[in-house]
Amino acid sequence: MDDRSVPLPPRDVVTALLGVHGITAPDDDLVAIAELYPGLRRRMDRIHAVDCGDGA
Amino acid sequence: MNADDIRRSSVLELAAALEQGAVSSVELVRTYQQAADRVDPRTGTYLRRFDETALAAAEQLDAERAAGRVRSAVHGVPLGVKDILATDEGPTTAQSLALDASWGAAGDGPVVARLRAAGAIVLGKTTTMEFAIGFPDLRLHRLDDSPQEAAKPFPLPRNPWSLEHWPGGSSSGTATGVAAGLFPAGLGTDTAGSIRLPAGYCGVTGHKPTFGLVPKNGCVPLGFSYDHIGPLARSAADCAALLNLIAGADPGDDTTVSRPAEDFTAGLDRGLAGLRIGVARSVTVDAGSASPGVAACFEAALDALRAAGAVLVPVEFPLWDELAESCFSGLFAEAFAWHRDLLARRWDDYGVDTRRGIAQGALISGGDYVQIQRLRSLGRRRVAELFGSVDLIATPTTGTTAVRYGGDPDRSARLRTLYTPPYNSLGLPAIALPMGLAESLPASLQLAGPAFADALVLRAGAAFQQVTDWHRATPPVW
Repeated sequence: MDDRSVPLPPRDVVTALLGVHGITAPDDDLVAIAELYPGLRRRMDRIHAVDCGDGA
Repeated sequence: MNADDIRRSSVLELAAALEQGAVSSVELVRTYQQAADRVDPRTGTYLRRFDETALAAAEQLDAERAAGRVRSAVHGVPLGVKDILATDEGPTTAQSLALDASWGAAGDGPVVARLRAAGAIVLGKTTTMEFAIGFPDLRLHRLDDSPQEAAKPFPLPRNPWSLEHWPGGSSSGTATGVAAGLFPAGLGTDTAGSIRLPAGYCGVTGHKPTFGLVPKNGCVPLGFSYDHIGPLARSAADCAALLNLIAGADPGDDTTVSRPAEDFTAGLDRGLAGLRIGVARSVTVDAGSASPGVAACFEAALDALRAAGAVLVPVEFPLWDELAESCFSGLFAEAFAWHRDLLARRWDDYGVDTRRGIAQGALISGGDYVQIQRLRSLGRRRVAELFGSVDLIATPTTGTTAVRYGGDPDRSARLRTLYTPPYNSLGLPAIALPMGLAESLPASLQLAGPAFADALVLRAGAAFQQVTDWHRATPPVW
């Protein structure tokens, strides 16, 4: 398991990522979504670490 | 048949009783309705019951039978339908205030329409997690002290084996209804385990078909490439009978695969002799994610499979963790695609956990999503190679029994106990079978097979249930 530290994204980044889709959310939701990001990133990093070859 | 006999019977047993004239469809419907009057307030099985239309359908189907017309094995048999599947009788909510009331106004989707045309009776719509996602949000039900949100007008599903426990999700109500004898079978959907998990926690049988075998249109999507519609029932044989009716391509779902019609009940009596079953211990019971009680039930289940003639082979399941993680990440990206505009318009109408979970999809990049698909493609090749040496793969369905409401704050740890998501990433058929009790709650065996080997998976399930009787156990709430 990749246990490297993943920083929380600034709230403004989450605001922008949702905002481009027309979504506005209250602060407590933005904070909570940001807190989900390190786990998501670690899962994705682990998936990116798999050598899937050139055929896929 | 008396009421208790009816409620303990399987679909195929009821079909035989109907054929013999031992019971009528009207009697079945009334029996299940009366049972629901008593039991449903405790189990939270139904979001909406269709008492009048169900009785009217039963009367019509009894008349047809009397006139010599029998449509199928489920002619006159009542079923429950998860409330993310559209039905003629009324609105679909997906257990959310956010879903537009007009969704599903066209009526039955193809799977429900096929069952209805075959003579099944829809007793009602059953509870789910909001939009079929995740764990119960107790803030929606005022079971915790959080003042963050007012309660929503939806019942909290409870496990008939212990009302203090979650029945699993997201096909919660269909599982509790089968377990508590409120209907003999029903429909669920499975994006990361949502048929097999509640089946496992409630001690019933649930089959996730091969991706592409059963059309998904008419169902509120969660992750379009991970979603599957399938049956929950008292037995693998019942699942096979229902799969016979719901399988087949539909032009409204271009992920379905056109294949010759198959009778999934035809080989159910062929047993296990000579079948090679791979046992994937290293990623489940030996990975520290299973309770001692579930591990013991699993060993006993393996003994039963071996005694029935199967050859058990230890296997290393390739990319297990990555395939599970790709399911959880990929489904949120896909869910975000469907929910984007709804989130923009009705953010506050979503449950807190649901909107936050789906919003994660906005944080997944295009490159991330493509890598998920590459990983799934590699996984399909590697697992297909594994199926060159074994016919089926056995694991527990979950590493633990049902979680107590309010007693499991560590969701990431809980996710590691779920052994279902890799098969959603791979699209392979998998069945959950009751395999005993651990801590007085059901434990479940999962058998999975190669793509479109649903008949083999169901045959193995039926064979297991020939030598065990856990699928006939009834819970304390009855």
